[in-house]
Amino acid sequence: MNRLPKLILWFLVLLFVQAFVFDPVLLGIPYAPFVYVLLLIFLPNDWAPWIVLLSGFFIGICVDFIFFSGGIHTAACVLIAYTRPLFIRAVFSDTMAPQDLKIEHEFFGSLFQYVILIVLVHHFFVFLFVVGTIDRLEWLLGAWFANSLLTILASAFVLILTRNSK
Amino acid sequence: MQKLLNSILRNGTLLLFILLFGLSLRFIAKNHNYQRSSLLAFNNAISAPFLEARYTFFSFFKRQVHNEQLVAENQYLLEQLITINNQEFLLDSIPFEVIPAQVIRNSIQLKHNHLTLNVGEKDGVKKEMGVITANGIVGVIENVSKKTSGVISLLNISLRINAKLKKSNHFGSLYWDSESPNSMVLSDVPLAAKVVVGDTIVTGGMSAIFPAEIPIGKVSATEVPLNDNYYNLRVSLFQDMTNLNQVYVVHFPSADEIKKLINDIENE
Repeated sequence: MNRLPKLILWFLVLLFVQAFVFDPVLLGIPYAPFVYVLLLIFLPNDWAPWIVLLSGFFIGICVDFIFFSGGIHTAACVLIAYTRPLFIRAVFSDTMAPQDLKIEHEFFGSLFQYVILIVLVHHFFVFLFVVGTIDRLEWLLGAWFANSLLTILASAFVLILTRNSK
Repeated sequence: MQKLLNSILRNGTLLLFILLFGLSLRFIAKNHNYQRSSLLAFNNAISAPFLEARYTFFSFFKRQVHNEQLVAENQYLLEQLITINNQEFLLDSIPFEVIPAQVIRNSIQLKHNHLTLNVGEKDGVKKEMGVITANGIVGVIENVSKKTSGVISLLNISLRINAKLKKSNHFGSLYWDSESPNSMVLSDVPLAAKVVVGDTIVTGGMSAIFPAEIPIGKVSATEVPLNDNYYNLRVSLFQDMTNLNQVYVVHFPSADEIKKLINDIENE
């Protein structure tokens, strides 16, 4: 399948799942995975940085619209979109140029490390923006850990499914 | 000038990042109810069909739990009806009606949480009506579209509600401090009230939003701030705000008259 339609399909599917399945209130649990983070991971690495930034901004705005969370997800997404090359270098190779990374060709182990790193950083900022202060550090760390764990598990599930289907 | 242009072009990504990140932080900072109100109504109007479909789908699996909740609520309402019928004199009572509604969206993770109900203008819902369940209060209607309405949840740091101790009629101001979705704080209760853990907190009835004596929760801890003559009471809510389904919008037929009266008194 062509790359852009495939991305748009991912975008629609993940946002639909985020809105209609992974809603904490709907599931009756305090936290639910933010699977939409996979969209930030799936954004092509050979795209110009400004396109990646605008895409991150757009993804964040859509998620904030779904959860009515007023900019929290947008800020975290923009931050990840900007710092993504650092994570790529940290996980794959110091010398690797971000545009050389092809998600579908990488080993699952490295890819999973990359997902974990992005999820942890993204979620930390999401909950920091929710709390707005570091006074409630205990709650922040608890929510960060619980939600990150759920997102990492859900993301692993999605990655395994998509890789097996190839 | 040429240098400036070159510098901008070289650092274009960084500048775009600063712009977008700054914009996002501005969204967060502007995250107040008044600015959000019209946006929430727009959001509700667009997503209502999807939320209704989601509610219908999931309620099929939750029907057993919903039935049990409804049975418990019926029992409670029947008891209330019997109690009222047995009272010879019903002082301080203002007649009110309720509009049944279903919660089709609820949030609990944020500081400004909201709910969406599947009733709107066509069902007679108006701004500033109270929302309750058989277990207690839930929130206040913030905006109304034709078929849906947005509610400021009790779990919203902007909302303050007049409440009192059931046993002694001492009033205070109830607000959420975002500590936990199961508890709130009742402040400004005079020390003369002699509060003990386990006391029941009910609505004060000093507005046209909630009738008096609607249960809210129980005192779980008391605290007197240093050099203060008032209690800060931690209140455990009767209503589980993370599990809302059937709610009732409270409608005072004489709400406008009451509001006018309150305004007149305040302006004097």
